[in-house]
This record gives sequence, C-alpha cells and structure tokens, in this order.
Amino acid sequence: MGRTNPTFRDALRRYRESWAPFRRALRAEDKADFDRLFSRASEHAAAAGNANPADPHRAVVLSMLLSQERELRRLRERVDSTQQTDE
Amino acid sequence: MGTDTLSACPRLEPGVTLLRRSGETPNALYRLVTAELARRQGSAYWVDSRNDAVTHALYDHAQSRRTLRGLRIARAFTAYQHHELVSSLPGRISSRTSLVVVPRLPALYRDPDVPDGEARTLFEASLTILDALAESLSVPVLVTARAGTDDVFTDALTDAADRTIESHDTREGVAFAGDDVQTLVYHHRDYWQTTIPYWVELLGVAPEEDLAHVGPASITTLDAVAMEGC
Amino acid sequence: MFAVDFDGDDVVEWYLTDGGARPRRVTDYTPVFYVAGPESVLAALERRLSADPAVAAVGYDRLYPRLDSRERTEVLRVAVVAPRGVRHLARRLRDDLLGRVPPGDVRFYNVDLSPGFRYCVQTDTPPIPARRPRTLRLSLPQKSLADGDLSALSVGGDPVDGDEQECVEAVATTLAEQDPDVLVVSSARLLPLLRDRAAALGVDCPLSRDPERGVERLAGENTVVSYGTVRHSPARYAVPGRAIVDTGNSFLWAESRLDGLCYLVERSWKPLQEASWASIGNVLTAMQIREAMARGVLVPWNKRRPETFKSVETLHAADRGGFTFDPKVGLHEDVVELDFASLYPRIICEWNISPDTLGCDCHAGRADIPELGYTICDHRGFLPDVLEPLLTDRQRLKREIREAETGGDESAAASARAKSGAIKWVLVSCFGYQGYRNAKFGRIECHEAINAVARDLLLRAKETAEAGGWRVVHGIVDSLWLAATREDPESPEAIAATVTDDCGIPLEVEATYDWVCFVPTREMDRGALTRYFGRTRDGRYVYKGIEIRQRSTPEFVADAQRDLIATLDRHRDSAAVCDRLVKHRARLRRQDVPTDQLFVTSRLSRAPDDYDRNTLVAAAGKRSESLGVPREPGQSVRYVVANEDGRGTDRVRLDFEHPGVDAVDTSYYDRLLIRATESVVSPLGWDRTRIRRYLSPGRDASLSAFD
Repeated sequence: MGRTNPTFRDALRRYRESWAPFRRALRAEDKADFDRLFSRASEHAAAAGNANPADPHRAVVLSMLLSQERELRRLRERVDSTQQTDE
Repeated sequence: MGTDTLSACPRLEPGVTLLRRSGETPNALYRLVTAELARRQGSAYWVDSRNDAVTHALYDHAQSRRTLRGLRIARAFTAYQHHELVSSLPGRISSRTSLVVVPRLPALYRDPDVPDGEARTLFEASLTILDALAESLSVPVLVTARAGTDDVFTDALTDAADRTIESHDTREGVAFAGDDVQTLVYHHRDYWQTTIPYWVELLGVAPEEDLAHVGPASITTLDAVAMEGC
Repeated sequence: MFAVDFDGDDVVEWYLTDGGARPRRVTDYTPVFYVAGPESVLAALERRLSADPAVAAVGYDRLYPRLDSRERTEVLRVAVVAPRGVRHLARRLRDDLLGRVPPGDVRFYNVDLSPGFRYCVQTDTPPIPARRPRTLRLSLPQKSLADGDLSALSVGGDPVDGDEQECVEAVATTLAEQDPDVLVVSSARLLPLLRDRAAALGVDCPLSRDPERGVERLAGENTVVSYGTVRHSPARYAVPGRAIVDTGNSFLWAESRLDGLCYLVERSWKPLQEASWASIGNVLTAMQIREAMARGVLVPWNKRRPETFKSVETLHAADRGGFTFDPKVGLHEDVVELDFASLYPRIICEWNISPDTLGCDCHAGRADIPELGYTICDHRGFLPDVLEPLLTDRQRLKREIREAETGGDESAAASARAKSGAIKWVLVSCFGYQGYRNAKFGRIECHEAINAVARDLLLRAKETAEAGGWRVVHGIVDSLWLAATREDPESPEAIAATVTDDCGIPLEVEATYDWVCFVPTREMDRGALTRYFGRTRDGRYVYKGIEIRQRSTPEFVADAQRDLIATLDRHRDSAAVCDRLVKHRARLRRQDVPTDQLFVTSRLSRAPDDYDRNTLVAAAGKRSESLGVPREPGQSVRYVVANEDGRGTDRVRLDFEHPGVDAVDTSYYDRLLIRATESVVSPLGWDRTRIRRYLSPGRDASLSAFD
C-alpha cells in the first residue's frame, strides 16, 4: 500500500516521450545531442527525486543545466591544463 | 501546464455525479476535479482507492498550486477502511464544502478478502451516506467507476447517481460526453486541438458540409481559442 | 510446554521429558473473543448467546479498542465451548447481524488467532520446550510421492535399502528407538501415505505419541496470494505429541532451521507446529498481538483504521520510498561499504514511531519527523516495545557468533547464526509490514515517517563522508559505498563513529573491497541498483543480484560466472574474461557437463494451463503433469532445456526423468553463458554484441583449439 506517486525517472521518461515529435523532426546529428541531454538529466534523478518538486519539469531542466555546468568545468580544466603545458 | 481547461470540462452540480471512464489513465478525473476546485471556494475531500490520488498528476492538471490548497485526501486499502473514511465524512462536511471525490467507489468492495454479503452491505451503506450528503448539503459528489465493469456495484451506483458523464481518452486528450455535456475543445499538454463541432460553432459551418479541409488538424498554441475558453 | 493439540472439547498439552514427552489433558479451556458495539445491541447479543449451545459463558470486560485509545470501553466477552470454534461462531454472528445493524457499528475482536497460539496467550502458557527438541528427517522424491511409492524413502538422511515393507519398518524402528519430537518431512503428504501403507502392510508404525489418535488433517491444500505473489499452501497435518515441519513449505525452517524456529517460538508464543508453517508476517503479528494483549488492547478482526486526511502537499512529501544514489557503473578500486545496521527497526525504536505515538494530540504542533512535520508522542510506543528485545537479542547473538567462531565452537556459532538469521527476517519485514494493507496494527503514516527519517540519515552520512575525504560511488537506503577523494582521508571507522554519534543509529564498516564492479542495467543506460560484485580485502568474493545469486541459474552457469569473475580479478580486462569463456563454451559443446549441473529451477506463478505465453516454465509444468506429478502455482519445477525452439512439453526434460547429456539444447545454455559473461564485463563497457564479435571465428584462434 502507499507509493502512489511515480518516480522522477518515470516523469523524465514521460517528459521525453512528450517531445517525441520534436525529436523525430531533428536531423540525425542533432538527435544524438537530444538523447545526450536526457541521458545526462537522468544522472541527477536521485537528487531530483529527493527534491520531489510538484512540477518535475523544472527539475528536468535544472538537471540538464547542471550536467552542462559539469561539462563546462571539465572543459575549463582541460583548457587550463593545456595552457599550463604550453607555457 | 497551466492552460485553462474550464470550458472543456463539464461542471459538477450538487448531487451525485458518476464518471464512467474508459481507458487506462484517470486523466478525466483529474481534469474534472481540478477544474471544479478552481471554480469553487472551501474545503474538498477525496477518499481514495487503488492509488488514484497521484499528487504529481493533480499538480500537473491544476492551474496553480493554490487550486489544491483546500483539498484533503485519505487513501483506503481495504473495503473496511474505505467505509470507515466515507462514514467519517458527515462529521467533516458542511454546506461550505466545495466537493467530495470518491474515485473507483466499488473497487475495494470487490476484493476477495471481504465476504460477499458483508462487502455488499458495506458498499450500500457507503453509497447511502454519499447520497444523503449530496442531497442534504447540496454538495457535488463525484464518484467514478470504470466503463465495462458492470456488476451489482456499478448497477447500484448508476441508480443512485443524479447524472452520468462518460469519458474516454483520445489521442488528443480526454473527451467527455453526458446528459448535457459534449467536449468541444480537447485539453492537450501544450497546445489546443479542436474538433469539428468547435469549428462548426466558431465558423458557422453547417455540419452537413464537407469539413475535411478544417479538421481535425492540429493547430499549435491556438491562443485565441484558449482565451475564448476562459 | 512443547506442543498443544485438541481432542474434541479437550486440550492436550505436551511436555518434553528427558526420555520423551508426557501429555496433560485440560478439560476447562474455553477460548474467548470480544464484541464491541452500542449497549442495546450488546445486551441483546448477550441474551441470545447465553442460550447458545456453542457458547460456554458471556460477560463484560473493559479493554482498549485501539492502541491509542485513552479510555477503556465495555465489550462483550464470549467464551466458546470448542477450543477451535471461535472463528466459526464469529462468522455466524457477523452474517447474522448483517442488515440488522449498520455495518461498522458492531466490531469483533481477538477472532483470528491460530488455535495453539490462542491457547498459549489466553492461558499464559509459554510453548517453550524444557529441552532442545529431537528431530527426525523423512524424505521422499516428488515423483515417488506422486506415485505413492515409499520404496525410495530416506529415514534420518539415509536411504532405506529395501522395498516398501522394509521402509515402513525402518520408520517404525527409528520412531521407537529415537522417539523424535519433530518430524521433518519433505512433504506433509508423506504422513497420510505412511499411515495408510503401514495399515495395508500390517506394520505397527505409530506416528503419533497418543496411541488413541493418529494423523489429523487440519486443512486442505489451496492457493493463496500473499504480498502479490502466488503461493501454494499444501494440506496441513497434525500428529498428537509431535510437531511436523514440511520443509518444502516452511519459510522459517528453510531460513533458520530448528534453533531459529525455537527462538521465534519463545518470542511469539506460537507453538513450534504453528510457527513452522507461519510466514514472517504471521510471526510478527503474533508478537504484536502478545504486546497488545499485555497492554489491554483489543485485537481487531478486520483492519478498519484508515489513513488520516492530509493536504495534497503533505501527501506529496510523504508518499516516497527510501533514498538511493545511482551507482557509478564500472570497476572501482579500494571501496568501503558502510551500513546502518537494522536501519528501519532502529528508526522505529529511536524515534519512537508507532501507530499509537504518531500524530498524538498531547504534543500537537511539534515537528518530530523531517520533511513531514509529523508529531511523535513522548509516551513509549507499542512498536518499539515489540522490536527492542529483538534488536537487543540480535546484538548479543552477533557477539556470541564472533566469540564462538574465535573459540572454534562451530555448533554454538551455527546455533547463534540460526537465531540471528531468524531475527533478521523479522526485522527486515517489520517495516514493510507497517505498510501492508491488512496488517492488524499497521499504519501508513508510520511507514511514511520511517522512510522520511531514513532518507535524512543517509544524506547526513553522505555529508559526513564527503567532508572526511570520500565520495559516494553508490548508496542505497541504508548503505553507502565510498571511494577516497584524497590521499589521506579520515578512516572509515572514524566516519562511521561520527555518523553514529550524530544520528543515534550505529553505522558500521560492512566491508572493504579491493575492487567492486557496479553492473549496468540490461539496456546499459545506467547502473542497476542491486547488481554488483567484488572482492573484499580479506579475499572473499561478494555477488549481489547477478546470475550466481539467481535461484533459476543452472549450477554450471553460476560456476562459470564465478570463474569469470576470478579471471577479471586477475587480469582486470574484458578480453581476458572472454578468452576464459571459450573454455566453458567448449565444455558445453563437447557435452562434457553433467545434466544435474544444467537444471533450471523455476517457480510456477500460475497453474501450468493458465499461462498465456508458451514459456519454458509452462512447458515444464505441463510436462510434469503429463508424467503424473501435478504442480501447483507457487511450487517449483526443475528441468533441463532440451529444445528451446521446439513445441509444447518436448522443450524440456524434468529432473525425475534423469535426462542424459545428449538431451540438452546446447545453444540455450550457450546463451545463458554469454548473458552471465555480459554481467561480468558490462561494467567495463562490453555488451553482448561486443562479446560475440570478440568471440567470432577468425577473431580468436584459440576457439578452435578447444573444440
């Protein structure tokens, strides 16, 4: 008994499905980016689940942004280390 | 998805309204309830069975979180608990109560762990209480039963209900049909989709005419239609 | 007392003595149940029942109707003539009252207690034997049982060498010599078979300790659904003076053997006979009933207490499970696992979470539960009182196990392990049981509160670990797997101690892994929560959720997977693992694997004919039936796959057909091998396509060498 609510992961999946027509119209190379966007969002599913927002869509967007931020940090670190080797 | 849904959604009048839904999702229920709560003030009660009270779905259908502020939900998992909750309603409800929602009213009474005779008696008592509440306090009471599950329970429900609304899931959203209800505009997540009767009304096209050129094409974000519906 | 049985209106108590057992007959026992309701209804009921021949006496008691009742209520006490007649009479009264009083007005209490347990709690007679019971094992293969053929009988673990006559005589001799207290049988149906055969063959073989009375059939077989799974409940038999354990249908026997079972008897007061066929939930309920009765609280027949009305916001916050991090897929070196020991029961005890304490009026407004703001009463709760002794005992037993192991006393260690294991099962179930819809004293708000505290604790532990120089590679409800983020992190023991002080619940270092692999889901898109394997610092391999641990996996495949993991341990390389796989595949292809290592064990989830799809399990079930060994839902079948793509029952061969190696569908088992390999190398990024590509002829010359 109990556990009425779907998990954030379900919400993410349904949200992704609701954008299927969008994805369908994308060019092949863009589709890969689209898929990465969602697979990265799912990396933060545990945190989003803990936040348990009433509207999961914002958490989806925040998760995507967070992944981008992480990617930026990694790239920044790489640029820094490349510059250091150059010096 | 805070777009307006009121116009598409039948109003719930005082008395017992039976929603018979086909299809898998309880979307029709969420739509009816959130639309009615948006129109009314005061507290509302929801006696749940079989986990229909999905808060995500309620938030999703409500225009704003304020809409749900007055709603109180309790879940039953056995027929005994369900009857206990329904029996507690007369002590909670007044004429200021905006709505009582009892989805899948017969479901738990059909469970094999309650002896048949007792289940029938408990169910009839629950139904009598709901009926009396609706009548004496002029409160709208919304009950649901799945279409296609006709047995003694749904028969009793149909007899007791003051009106019946039928709903079915379409590719474009939920459609309602009832005594004086017909869905003109389907609510759909981020855009509106019209049906032919809507165009007939809006453009004055006679129903006999060939309408192939107007519907049922999907028209994204038809703001004008949405505004009209407010 | 050891056992209790019923003879007409009498009760017979059995006491174990040094030599055997002695009976004591009780003639004045009348089981009691209660009825609550409006005064007038009770008065009318009292008048009617005083004249009812099934009723011994009627009167009034003052008891608490609910765990959280402040005041006692006057209830009608009905004493029944027949020691096992309560349920029957209560049903008759209930049906009789239907339609005459509003439902819910009249309530029945203390109705559905099993007869032996009821006798013990009502008469205050603990069913605890004076000495350790002696057991005798009797087992017969399924096929022989179905054929009614006793000649393959084993007595005390040894097959009897001879025909049916000699088998029955062997049982009779052993019974006379050993006078066992518990008959441990492979199936309860063995008992009537033995009785009938003994009579037919003219052998005096008394299974019972009472010369006047023999085997009694208590209940017919049926199929029950419990916790959503189908279980077959076989016919139950009782033997005066002895307890019967049906090993195929005793969860507790399978999990904790005699010592564990005896421990639960002591705690629950369910006599050994009833405990042996009870589920964990049933034993837990018995413990709760004892506690409720000690508190003067009535035991409801049907659970009526519903959830309280809550706002959408509260429901939204509360309706969630435990917290889990997603595992980082891959092979991680030097990982520490920290566990909250018995997290849920400890939360119940520490936070005093109980149906009678949650949301009390006396401390209203106080927010004791994180996120939900539920209030918890300071008054000691019912649930903690039930669980605390179990937690204390478990801690003591863990110490005893360690001491016995150090001292080399293996039998003491085994006994302590059995008891500790039995407690573990009760503790594991107590939380889920709070949420179970028919749990007599369950309350969903307790379930929610426990979850909310657990989520908070795991996050607090995570924060402490991160501050101490660790990062979380995986975390699930009560466990964290940590890897160091810097050269000199705080010691895991220090982290555990800090968290223990902070949370009030012991966090323990469960294992230190040289390496651990978290396995992705079959779709390879993320980490599976409970699929991992690794090797601990002390050289022990740990396997969770992978094929080795799945009951259905054939021994050959499990052994191969173990070998592949050892290979991974040596080489840390997917290609090396696949090279090793070649050896196992070749063995399979050479038909060098004995069929008894290829048996698949599956549980039937429905009757063989009710399967929609033609699965292997369905085929095995049908084949079993056609060969005269009917299978019920919930029972298992053991088979080898003979031709996966074949038709009907020809796809499989059953264990009792003793199939030869040439009957085996090699390609089926080859696919199982590849799947098992995929679990081993998928953490390193290889899926089955990659494995097959690597193994394809031409790529790997070594393949032919093994063929």
